Amino acid sequence: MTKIISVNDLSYQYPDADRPTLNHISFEVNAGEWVAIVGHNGSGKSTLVRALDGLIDFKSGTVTVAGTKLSPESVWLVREHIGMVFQNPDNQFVGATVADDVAFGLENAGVPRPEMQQRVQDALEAVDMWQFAEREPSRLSGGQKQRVALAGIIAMNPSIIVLDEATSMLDPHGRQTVLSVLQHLRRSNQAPTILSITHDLSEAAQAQRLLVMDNGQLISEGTPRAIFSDEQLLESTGLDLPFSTKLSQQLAKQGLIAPKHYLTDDELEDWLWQLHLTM
Amino acid sequence: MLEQLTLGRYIPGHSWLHRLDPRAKLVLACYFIVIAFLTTNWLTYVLMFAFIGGVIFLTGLSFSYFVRGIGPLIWLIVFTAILQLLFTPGGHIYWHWGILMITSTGIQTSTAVFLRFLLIITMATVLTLTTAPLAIADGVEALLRPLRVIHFPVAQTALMLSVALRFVPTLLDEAQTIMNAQRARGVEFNNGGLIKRLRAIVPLLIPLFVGAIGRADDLATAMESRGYQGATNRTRYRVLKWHNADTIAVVVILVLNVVLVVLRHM
Ligand SMILES: Nc1ncnc2c1ncn2[C@@H]1O[C@H](COP(=O)(O)OP(=O)(O)OP(=O)(O)O)[C@@H](O)[C@H]1O
Ligand SMILES: [Mg+2]
Repeated sequence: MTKIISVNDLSYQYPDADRPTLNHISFEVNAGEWVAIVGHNGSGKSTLVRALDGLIDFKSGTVTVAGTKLSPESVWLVREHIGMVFQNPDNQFVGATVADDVAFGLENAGVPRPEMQQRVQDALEAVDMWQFAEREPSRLSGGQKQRVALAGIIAMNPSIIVLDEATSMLDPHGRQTVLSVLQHLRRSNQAPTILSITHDLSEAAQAQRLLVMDNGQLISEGTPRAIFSDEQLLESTGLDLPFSTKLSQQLAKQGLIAPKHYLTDDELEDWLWQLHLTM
Repeated sequence: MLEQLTLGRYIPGHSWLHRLDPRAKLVLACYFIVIAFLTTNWLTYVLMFAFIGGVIFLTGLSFSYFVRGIGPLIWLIVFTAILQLLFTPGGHIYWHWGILMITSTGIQTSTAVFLRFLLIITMATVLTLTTAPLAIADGVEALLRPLRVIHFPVAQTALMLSVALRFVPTLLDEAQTIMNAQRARGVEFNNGGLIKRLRAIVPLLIPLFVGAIGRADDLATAMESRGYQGATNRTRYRVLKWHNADTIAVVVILVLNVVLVVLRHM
């Protein structure tokens, strides 16, 4: 498997901060992989993904994206590979209308107009926002703005998509729509690599691998199953437990001991169902 | 309080005027404003007011939008006219008290000031009511394009303008939120004398500015991450199209100019 992102011993401190926000971070991401980053507020997740895009000026450590080592000279090349959706949808809306905003990145890349129109439409249709193409951002809800932001990235067709809590304002249905858009993209022939920051553990559970951040450090990484089974880790980092884990714990108190490893909601349901049959 | 800011608001529609190219509308409005100063006798005023009346009719919008658009400024116009009236010497003196006087020249100039301002503001209102802010920004860019010869950053200016316009409603919303938050803490915005009201504005402006700077920072980051490297080699999603109607509009305003000049000498 080819590595599309490698981060080596990255450290960073904001100029006005008293302690480092990123502390000797190293990890790698394979091409086509879906990795979720979890960690409590202020643990440095947003700062980390900004570093990947060359948006903060780190002094120590290296970042390599798609074979290009990030440097002031290569930063625009690296940014071509990465499409990033930020936390606050209001402050990343550049265009005066939905369609203009989705077109912004394409305009920057100098895409010819007929092709641009097609790509804007396709991207907006993918997130189910085409009927709002002429709307101004002030007349959209938070969740709708997040979908537009995602469409702006999909239109660019980048090899890496970074989502910084990009579904935080979506209702369960909207979130599912966005997640299925991503799943769909991943099944296409140029399946993008996805790096998503999320506080929603059922969303994290869809990733292939989790990175756990705490206090500027990468304290653990592994499959969702492995991470969610590690109750000590979850508790020490202040992460919430996924619903199925909580339910297993409550059941244990009642004397029903579920398997030790993490179960998804569906798996737990199956287990309970079969348990009932055998009782 | 903030909802009253109807000045410069766009009312979507499909009238002939709405569909005109923003470049044509900008040229039309600017041209009209300039020739409004060519008015001299009553014939020229009748002509200009008839013209603007026709334009208002073509917008297909109800007259009350114009009244509301002009309303807040009418006092400014009246005030200016009264100053003109009281301080202009010359001609027959009807009344005077200290340095204040009412003269025949004063009456003429103040009437001219009042009517010309009214024409100008009505035209500006027509422009903003029928043209989306974004379209105005596009139009301004297109009209400024020749300035590229002298290295004026036209595309950057246009982007700046459209981003600024895009953030106006966002900032108004934010102001509203801050005001509500302050109200919940006992600040009164609509009571008390002028000084007291002005003082209440300060705790509104400071968080608003701080917020705006934070937003600007985020926006700059987002633009960079989406590959914005200044305005070189960008393509455009939105392009303006010049139609026959736009040419007709320009011809009409030229004819108006000619008729106006003829009437001046009658
Ligand atoms: N521009 C900045 N200047 C100074 N310090 C900052 C800046 N941005 C973030 N920080 C600090 O860096 C730390 C990490 O912030 P970061 O935004 O990366 O956290 P996060 O993990 O994304 O949190 P959240 O879950 O709330 O989004 C925090 O302590 C924060 O106060
Ligand atoms: Mg964050």
